[in-house]
Amino acid sequence: MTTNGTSAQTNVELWSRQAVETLSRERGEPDWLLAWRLEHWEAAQRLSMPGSRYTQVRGLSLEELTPAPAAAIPGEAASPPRPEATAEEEGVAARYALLDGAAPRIERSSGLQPKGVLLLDVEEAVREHPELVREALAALPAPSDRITALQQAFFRHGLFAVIPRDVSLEEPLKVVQEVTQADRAAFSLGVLIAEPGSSVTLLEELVSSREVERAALHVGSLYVRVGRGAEVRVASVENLPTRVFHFARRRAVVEADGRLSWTLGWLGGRLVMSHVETVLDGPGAEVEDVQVFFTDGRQHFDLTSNLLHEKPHTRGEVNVKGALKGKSKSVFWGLIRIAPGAQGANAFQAERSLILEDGPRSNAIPSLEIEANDVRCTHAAATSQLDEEQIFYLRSRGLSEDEAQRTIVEGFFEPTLEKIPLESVRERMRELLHRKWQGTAGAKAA
Amino acid sequence: MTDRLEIRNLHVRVEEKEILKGLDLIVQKGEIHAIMGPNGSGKSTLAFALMGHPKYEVTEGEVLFKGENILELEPDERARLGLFLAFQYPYEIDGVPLSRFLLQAIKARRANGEKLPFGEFRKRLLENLKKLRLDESFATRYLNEGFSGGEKKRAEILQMLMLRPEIAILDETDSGLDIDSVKIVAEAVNALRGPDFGCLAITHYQRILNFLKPDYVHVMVDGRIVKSGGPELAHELEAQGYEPLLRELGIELEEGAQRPSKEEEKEGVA
Ligand SMILES: Nc1ncnc2c1ncn2[C@@H]1O[C@H](COP(=O)(O)OP(=O)(O)OP(=O)(O)O)[C@@H](O)[C@H]1O
Ligand SMILES: [Mg+2]
Repeated sequence: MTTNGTSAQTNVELWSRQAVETLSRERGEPDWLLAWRLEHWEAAQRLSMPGSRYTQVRGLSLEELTPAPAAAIPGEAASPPRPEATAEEEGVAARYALLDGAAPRIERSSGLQPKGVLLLDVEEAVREHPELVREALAALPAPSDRITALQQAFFRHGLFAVIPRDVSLEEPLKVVQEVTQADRAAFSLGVLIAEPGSSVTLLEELVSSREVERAALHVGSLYVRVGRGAEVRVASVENLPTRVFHFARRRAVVEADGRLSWTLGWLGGRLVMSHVETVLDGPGAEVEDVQVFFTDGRQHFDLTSNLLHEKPHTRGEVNVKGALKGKSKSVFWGLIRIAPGAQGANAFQAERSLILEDGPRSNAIPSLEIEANDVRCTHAAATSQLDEEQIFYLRSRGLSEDEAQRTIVEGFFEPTLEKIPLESVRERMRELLHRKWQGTAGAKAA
Repeated sequence: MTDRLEIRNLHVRVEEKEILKGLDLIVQKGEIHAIMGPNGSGKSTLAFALMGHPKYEVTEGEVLFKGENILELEPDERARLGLFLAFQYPYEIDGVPLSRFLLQAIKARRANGEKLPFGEFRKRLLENLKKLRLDESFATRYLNEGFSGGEKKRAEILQMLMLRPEIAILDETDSGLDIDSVKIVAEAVNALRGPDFGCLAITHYQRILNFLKPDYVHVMVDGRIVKSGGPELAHELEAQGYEPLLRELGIELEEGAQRPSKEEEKEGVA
């Protein structure tokens, strides 16, 4: 690799306990936060990399990575590129952007202020509302792998948002994270608190304006609290460059009669490990989780969706659909847990993948832990291949072979895309899937 | 004449087994031909081979259409040349709304940039749905997904009406249709009838032929046309079955090829 003796030495220092202390001190953080960081730094020393017999993290060496610095490194862009349209013109309530886990920029539309919505970078939030941050961090589960532990030790930024009681934000909050630097470890830690009776939509994009020439790491986490009767929609599109390792952790606690929707689209990255966990923590709480992926080349996606029904009359629905090309791999882990006493819980989970060539592998590992007796629980997983007869049928109507295949693949996704509650996200996913198809079709022809 | 489909000495193999054993047939535009024949005699094999199904291997013979040996063309090229096949068992394509698919197929056939204004497409779609007594909402459903047997057949004819082929092969489009639907479908085919449209209708039953009034009826047995005649031939078969004809021609059916089952005979009478 490109690392020589000195920089390897420096990198070790960059990941040291002392580096955590320096980071925290420079930001003037309270003692409890430094302690929290150090606790996770300690954990990182004992924990191993995430993985299973289906997924191993290969080709990523933490020692060769640099954690995102406090200030821009000379020669690199100092801030995320500013979009041409203002937040208002784009039709969003606010925009939050990060570049390689650093340089946060927030733009708020004028309509936001009177509603009392709290919208800060987490660094600012620690200064201004330490008790809120402390409470949110305390709700995160203990990390079970080194990557998550390091993220919690070294994070600098992320959106911290609180939607006050009974406030409805018509327009979405948008978070754009860019990964552009090789050999960089970018972390983000986001928090979204929707107080009882409120309503909000969060749009996330993970993108890049350019190819990244060597491995880079992006670790993002989001904690969502859906208060009693609140409604939260989170939609995320991940389209990172092909050498990026992306680890995502999303956890939500949904209180009584709260409603949450996850829409996650996975297209880019070398290795993606995503973990979504929804705790249905009050009667009448509901979650809908729609995930769509398309892999090619040597991409490897490992996606988890856990539904934890803690209380009676909770409803959860998970629909995951993916297409695979090249030598790519996907693994889906789906857990449904229904706690004792969670009578009347209703859980549904389906994963379907479509293998487009001979190379890809797809696995689904569902598990059920049902400890209540009056529940409805359905889960299904299926892997299929492109059907030659279907292709011939469409070709007999005049569609070329490529067009026939594309029609079948897009049709495969369509019923799931129709479950996406936001029209704009649905359209964007359609477009990206279409482009991914063209990209792979083009690559195949070359 | 180039305005005809000319099949010469066609031999087709499926999974190493020869099914068509030297078949000759000419379908002129403006004509309607019916093909009848026992189960397994190779009627669908003929339809698939004409359309270019990759599993059906032509080992000998040629098929000429518009001055080209279409056996060298891909299935979609054949479609764009004006050939159409209504499938005996249409496939279900999840997530592809029928109307969107029709628009896509029409566009694909107009590769040279010729445009079909959406308004006109919509008008034609509504007209044709009406012709087939299909509800407007039918077009928004996914292609054949969850369609009843009869709906699938009518959807095939809807596609034919929208794509306006020059030669249409109907593979048992009447099977599985109720009495009224047979008439509706036959009338839809008749609406295309004219100097620019030829049809090869594969069927087991007289009923649809009463409406189609074919110019020619052919009997296919064991991969060959063994007898051709006018509409009266179909009446004869309907009345007597294949046995007298086979005896007259001195043909014994191989194992595996059978006469229509009792059930299908009943359907014919129903
Ligand atoms: N894809 C295939 N794979 C294997 N055998 C096939 C295939 N297609 C046709 N055959 C065989 O070829 C023979 C002719 O079949 P074909 O479907 O052409 O008959 P048909 O005349 O259309 O019969 P039917 O009246 O029952 O529709 C049969 O023995 C059938 O089993
Ligand atoms: Mg047949």
